[in-house]
Amino acid sequence: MARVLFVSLFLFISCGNNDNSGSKRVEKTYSAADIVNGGSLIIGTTGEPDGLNPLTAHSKNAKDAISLIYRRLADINEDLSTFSPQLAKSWHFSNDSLSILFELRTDVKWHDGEVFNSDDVVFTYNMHMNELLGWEGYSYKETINRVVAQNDSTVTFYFTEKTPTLLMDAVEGYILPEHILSQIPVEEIESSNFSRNPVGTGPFRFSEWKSQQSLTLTKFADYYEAGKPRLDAIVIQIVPDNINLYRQVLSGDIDFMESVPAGDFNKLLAQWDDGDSIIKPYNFLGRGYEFIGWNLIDPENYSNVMEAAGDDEPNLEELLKPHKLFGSWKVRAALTMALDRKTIADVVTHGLAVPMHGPIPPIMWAYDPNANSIWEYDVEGAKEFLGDAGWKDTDGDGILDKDGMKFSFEMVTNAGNEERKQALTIIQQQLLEVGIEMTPRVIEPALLFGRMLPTRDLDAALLGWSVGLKMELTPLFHSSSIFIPFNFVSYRSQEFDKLEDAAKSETRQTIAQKHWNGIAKLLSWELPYSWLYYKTETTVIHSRFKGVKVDKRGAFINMEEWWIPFEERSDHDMLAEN
Amino acid sequence: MLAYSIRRLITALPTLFFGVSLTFFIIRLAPGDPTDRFLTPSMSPKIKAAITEKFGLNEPLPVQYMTWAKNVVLNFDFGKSFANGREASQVILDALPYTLLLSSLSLLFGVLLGLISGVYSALKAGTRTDRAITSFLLFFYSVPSFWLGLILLGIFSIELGWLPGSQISSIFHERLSFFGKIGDYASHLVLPVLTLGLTTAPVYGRFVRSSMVEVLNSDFIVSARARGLSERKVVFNYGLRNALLPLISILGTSFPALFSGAVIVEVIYSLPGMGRVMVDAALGRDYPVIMAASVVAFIAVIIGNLLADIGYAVADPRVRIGDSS
Repeated sequence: MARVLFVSLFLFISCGNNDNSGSKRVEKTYSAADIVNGGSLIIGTTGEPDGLNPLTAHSKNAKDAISLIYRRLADINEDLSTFSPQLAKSWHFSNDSLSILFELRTDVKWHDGEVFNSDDVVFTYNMHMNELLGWEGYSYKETINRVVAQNDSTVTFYFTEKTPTLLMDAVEGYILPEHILSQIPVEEIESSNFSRNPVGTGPFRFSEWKSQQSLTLTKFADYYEAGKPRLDAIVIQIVPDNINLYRQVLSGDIDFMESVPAGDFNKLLAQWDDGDSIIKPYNFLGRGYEFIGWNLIDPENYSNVMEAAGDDEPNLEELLKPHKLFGSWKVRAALTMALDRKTIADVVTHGLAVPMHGPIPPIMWAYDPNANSIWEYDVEGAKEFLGDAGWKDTDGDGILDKDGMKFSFEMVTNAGNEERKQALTIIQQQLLEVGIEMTPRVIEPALLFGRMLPTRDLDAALLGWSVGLKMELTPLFHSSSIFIPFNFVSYRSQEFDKLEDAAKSETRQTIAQKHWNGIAKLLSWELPYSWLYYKTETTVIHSRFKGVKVDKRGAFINMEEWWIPFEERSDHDMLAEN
Repeated sequence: MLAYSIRRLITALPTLFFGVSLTFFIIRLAPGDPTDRFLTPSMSPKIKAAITEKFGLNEPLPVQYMTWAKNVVLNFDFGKSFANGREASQVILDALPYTLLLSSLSLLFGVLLGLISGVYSALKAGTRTDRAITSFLLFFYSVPSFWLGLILLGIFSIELGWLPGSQISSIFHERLSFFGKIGDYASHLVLPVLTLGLTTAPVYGRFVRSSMVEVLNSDFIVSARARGLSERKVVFNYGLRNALLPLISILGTSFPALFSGAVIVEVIYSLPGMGRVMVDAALGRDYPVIMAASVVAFIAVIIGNLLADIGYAVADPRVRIGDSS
């Protein structure tokens, strides 16, 4: 289901497990001369894409398909800070760093045969900025002042201010065909036929869509990179049930599955290393992490605050009362020490995760493992901190109390995520060790995200975020986000605001790094969240595909280069020859 | 007969209106709103407001209702899906044939199984065979279709691997011959039809049995036997024909159950029908699609009931009410 961001977590850092020396498997190596064209790939996915128009599609599976059909001006490299040319051959910053001039390729054709030129780039920018379309990458473009075409093959982006991410902001978003979309009134673009019959400049062109069943993409013969793509066709098969999907991977009906359940994945890993499996597992840091958010304010007082928010200058200091449990830093620190993150991750993800201690995801360039304040698992330390904060077990029932109030609260999570449900039970036991009574509660996602988070009507929540490739913490912790659901813990800190504003406007990376380290240290000390673990991705791909590149940017980054040796062709590979 | 049908249809309109309106307001009571789908940490509140306005969700509820009702009644326009911008009616039309296929095959299988077991049970009334059949039917009557579906899926698809457990056709469908294609569909439909048929058959079976027992004990059967007619003729020509009457009315009223059963079975077996569309729409708060699907469901129920009444009237002249001729 159009899968709420919070529920589904994806994407990647490079993998070590497959190249490890303990493996009995010897993989044949190929040279460029061995590469042959032909064959097809069958991708299994659990949901139907919500359209193939990059402006209006939101679901993960739609974006995967879109990445094969369209191209950007430039693609981000594995370091997540430099870029490789795509539709743009090259680019130059102006001397004042307030504009970038892009030289476009002149040999690019749209799938319908029209020639790509600078009008498409300008048009795409205008579409991105059109609020009627609600393009989700809008925030990337906010510092762009205007986009001007000098001639057919040069375009200049002008910016309002200097930031370290000018190039990233400029090239974000797939370029759209002006000659088709300019004929459609903007308000009709989403519902137009284009969403289900797209035209791009990518290596694969759209061929057929059977509702709720499958999508077929075929090779675009006029693709601008000579000789690519290698494969004749990519079929995206929709199998809504994960177990069934995995079953079809085992039977060989499906070649590619992006997220295999952790237990099954470990089995496949072992089989692959023993050399008795043709399904190749890829394990790498993904883009999702799990955490507990502690509500820092008293939920009962928040409704007054919402009313006051209408005023010009609401006095938040007066209106926001600290939460009666988690308003205390000592308590949050104690709770964090009471958690054995490693056990939680091992049980829940079968070891396919790494512990996480601070706000910056380990895949980002700004991540520095030494920047975080680390709260190791320490039951005695936790008890001591709780005692300092005035929590004692005076009535001998095993649960701490203070001023006649028991240390008892509800921790909520969204329904439909078995891992979180399981984690809640383990956390409940661990908290009981230090005398805290936590009641787990699983809540329908729409209620949790639609009502409880926005109104702050909760004590603590076990949730996960998925991470973008741009360094950004404003929605989660900046005081300007105090009224949006993402900052549901209502964290406010002038120090954080100052550091983040500085980090985001700093163009020298080493200095920006210092600011981000400061943020990591601050948040991992103040603990609005107790970060639990960062998940690794569990993708499997049939081993007959060669040239496969999978890293933290995903498994869809070079499908145009995947190829299959003749001797390994299967029934699938004859699909396109019909 | 025609006048009767038309009158029945007209009296069904308030039911349709009331049911659909109730659905419209009830789904709005559910927490969450369709724009949650667009929630990403990088989305500005400005965009959220723009989306809300685009969907017309900023209007007061009664205004939204009037706009919706007007479009449906005047233009047969159910609006566009919030999830993908397609016409809600098109989304439903894509899925409906699969649901109709599954429902009708299951109905056929369920009725056949019900008939055979019911008649056989009635003929053997009171014996061990009768009790065995009754227990068998009671078992399938008691188990929920989703449970049975999962069990059958687990055994025949996942463990034994004999039958496909998802989708309506295989990846290679297009390459098959005409009969190959039919076989491909059939193999995908065996488990869903079995699930839905087995859970609906007991109702028919129990009904057929009890009315058959009653009929077989009535005077005209005794006299038919007394006239020396063959047992086969007595049972089928005299007994069954009379025992079938109540089955017709049961068929009509079982229509809603069949429809909702199909929805669940489709989700379990990943069939591309209404079930998947409705579940996705409900979870995503895709109001236009939910409403279009509800209208189809209400109409199906009303037509089912009407057909049952008509069928009953045709089969039994005594109930041809209100027909002046």
